[in-house]
Amino acid sequence: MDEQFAVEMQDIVKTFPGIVACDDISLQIRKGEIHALLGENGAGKSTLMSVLFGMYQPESGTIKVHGKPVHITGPRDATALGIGMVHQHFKLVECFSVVRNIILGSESMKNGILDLKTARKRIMELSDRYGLAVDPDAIVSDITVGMQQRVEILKTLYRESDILIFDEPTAVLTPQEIEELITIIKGLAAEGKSIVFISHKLDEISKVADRVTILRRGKKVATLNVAETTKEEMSELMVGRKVSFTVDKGEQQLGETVLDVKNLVMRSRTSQKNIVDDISFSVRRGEIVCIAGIDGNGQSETIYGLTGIMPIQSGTITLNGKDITKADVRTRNLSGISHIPEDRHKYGLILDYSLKENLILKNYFKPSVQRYAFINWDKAETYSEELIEKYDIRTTLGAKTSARSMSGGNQQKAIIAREIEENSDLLIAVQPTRGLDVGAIEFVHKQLVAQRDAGKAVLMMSLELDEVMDVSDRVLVMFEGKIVADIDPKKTTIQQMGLYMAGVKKEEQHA
Amino acid sequence: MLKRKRSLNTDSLAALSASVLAAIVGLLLALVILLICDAKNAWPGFLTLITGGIREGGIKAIGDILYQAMPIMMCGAGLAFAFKANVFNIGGGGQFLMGSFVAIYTAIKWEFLPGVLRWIVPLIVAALSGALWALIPGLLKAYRNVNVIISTIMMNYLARYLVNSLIKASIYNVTTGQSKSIPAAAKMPTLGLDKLFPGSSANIGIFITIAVCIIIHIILNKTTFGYELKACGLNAAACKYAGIREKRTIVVSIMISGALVALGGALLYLSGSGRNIRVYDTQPTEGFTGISIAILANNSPLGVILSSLFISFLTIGGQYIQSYGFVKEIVNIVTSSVIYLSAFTLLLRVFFDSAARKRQAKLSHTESEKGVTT
Repeated sequence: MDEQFAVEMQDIVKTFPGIVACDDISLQIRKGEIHALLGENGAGKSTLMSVLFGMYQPESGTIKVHGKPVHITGPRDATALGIGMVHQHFKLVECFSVVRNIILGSESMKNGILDLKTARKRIMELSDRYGLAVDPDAIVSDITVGMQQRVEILKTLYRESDILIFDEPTAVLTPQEIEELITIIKGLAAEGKSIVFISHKLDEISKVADRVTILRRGKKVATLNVAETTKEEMSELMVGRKVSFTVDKGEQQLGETVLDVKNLVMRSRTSQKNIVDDISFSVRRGEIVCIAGIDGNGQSETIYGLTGIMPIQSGTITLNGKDITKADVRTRNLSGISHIPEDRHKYGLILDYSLKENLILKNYFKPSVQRYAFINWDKAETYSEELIEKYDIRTTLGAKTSARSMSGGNQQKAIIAREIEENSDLLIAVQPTRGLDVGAIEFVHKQLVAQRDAGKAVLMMSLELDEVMDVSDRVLVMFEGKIVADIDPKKTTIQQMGLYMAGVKKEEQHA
Repeated sequence: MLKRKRSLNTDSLAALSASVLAAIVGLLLALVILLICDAKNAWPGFLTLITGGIREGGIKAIGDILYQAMPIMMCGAGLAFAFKANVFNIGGGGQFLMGSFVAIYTAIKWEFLPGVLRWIVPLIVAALSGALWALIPGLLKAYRNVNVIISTIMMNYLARYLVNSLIKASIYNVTTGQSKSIPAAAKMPTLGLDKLFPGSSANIGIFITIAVCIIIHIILNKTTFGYELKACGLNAAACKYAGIREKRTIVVSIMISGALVALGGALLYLSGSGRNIRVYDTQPTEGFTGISIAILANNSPLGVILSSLFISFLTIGGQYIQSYGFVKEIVNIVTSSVIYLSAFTLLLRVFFDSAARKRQAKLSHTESEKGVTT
């Protein structure tokens, strides 16, 4: 044996009825390396890692951990072998403290009583050693998403894992948190941990990984040294064709003002602080205006205020010259607001409804599908089939597929289809590409630009700086509830934008 | 149509198998209880139980099953309706009592009504009273976020003592300690069911109830209101986002629920079978049986028709077991253990659901693996 790998997966085949999810994939993870696993949604990354973590049994193939052939039948086996997984959706008990969350499932006892003291001490040691800076006594629901992720990392470290799988760890983080996470992951690798980093974001992979294995449609395409490849090469291998990273936009045709917001103030229910502090702005036909900023500076609340989901304190909202400040959500929607919401599971979809039922969520009461208070399900079905076709929504059972069983990208496509088909004058898109892969992002951006070119007003909110710079015509930067800059992305740099976002720089005057 | 049926199958098959399994487990427990009490007579007793007493009672037993099913079917339909909207209405007892009292009161006092209106109007007024009674916890939930389970249980006690004093003040029969009997003119027509099933109290009410179940089924599955109601039950935040007035939906759903449960009470007492409201301190059992029926039916109004007939079948069968020397209390234990085991339906559903979901997840997984290019 020339080289001993931390993990060696040999010729793994995993089939589901009718399809081969992992088609003869081999993967070697060296000790102490950061190995990225790149592929589109549904390329087989997660299936492969689920096999390693024992959640699926492969039809054929062998797995070796530290050179020894192993048979992993469940996450418990995997944990015992030192394999830990940081899931994309955290598995934490929100009302428990950090310590209690970490020890959950491997509690240490002292005379039959939970021994929190020793556990806490060990957690502190681990946290210091890897620079995680986690407060062990904080309640999980009080800490930021980035911190919650560190708790997940600590959970694996506490169980003495030396092979860590990160499943799309940056999907939920802000740019700053991503930087910090990358530092942490590099630190872990330096301490000798072997790391699998699942992602479809090429930038991060270039920054963090040593090697990358690219999967496409269940097959391994290549394993490359990251230092010797380019973003373009990786994306081409991943998608199977060339992908454009720049957004093609036509000449801007500015029209009249659609949305006009004046002196909007919003207050949180729990404190007297203004989350949105006296902001004014407007959006005109034919432009994409983007609200940028570090998460939690009032951007989400601004959107909720505009769409009527949250009450506002004061100010006026005018849509097409009509005052909608006091209107309810339905009236606002009908007056011309479409809304692609930030949280597609909480607001965007009724997960236990079928795709068809979700696609008519905004127009089930309109004459197109309704008559005498009855829903014409045949018409709804035809309408859904049209949207599925037009927006290329991939499903198992067509219009009858339950929304819950669809992949994130297809759920988002369904929401976008529904909202764009409303043909509203104002399209509000909040984090429209969150958690999507390159191909899907390209699709979403095209749709937004198409709306702009069709003379609609588009208001976007995004935390991804690249997206902000590429897609928008005008950027409003929010900091602590105020709009601190109104800038043209073509005349500014990402660095400058960062300064505005951090509140270091402020524009004296904005429109 | 054919296509729709197929999608229905995966979901409702899991639900149906859970319900049937729960019923079987319940019956086996009943057999065990009978064996413990009196091993010699256990087997014939059990046979009587599972034949609904038809072996002994013959045609009358069938009529009795229909009659017994009527009020609990109506309650089950009403409660299932609220459960669909994720409003856990435990106030069936109180709503049932209000409906019963109002129906008897109007049947006795409103002598000015002509002909069939003597029983139709009391039914309608009773339903309204149930809706109003349920309005209170509905408003508390929608505008003050008061837990419906707690508020409806408290409303049950209010209803019990309010009805007791109202009976004593208006339609009290001092000798029996019950409400007065309704006049013959206010009795619901039997539509010949008394001839078909001699000796039973079966009447038009069973048809009304089945019709209501079908209407509720149509409302839930075919109308915009049903769409809104189920949507609110599944995801209130998404409803708010979509502009559905979720507060109004909550209030309306519990009002309809209360109206139906009250109608169940009215149907029972307007049958004129000699039953009257007793003035004492316990809740009418129909409100709670209705919960079991709704759960056993997985909140499907059409399922409620089947599950209430099943429970009624057991109840009647249970009455005939007494002829094998089992005391009434044992009979009650046997039938209620079947009913309460129906609560296991929930547990079993979780099991069947996760199995079904796993299957679907596998399917969709494969599909998304199939279609990778975007």
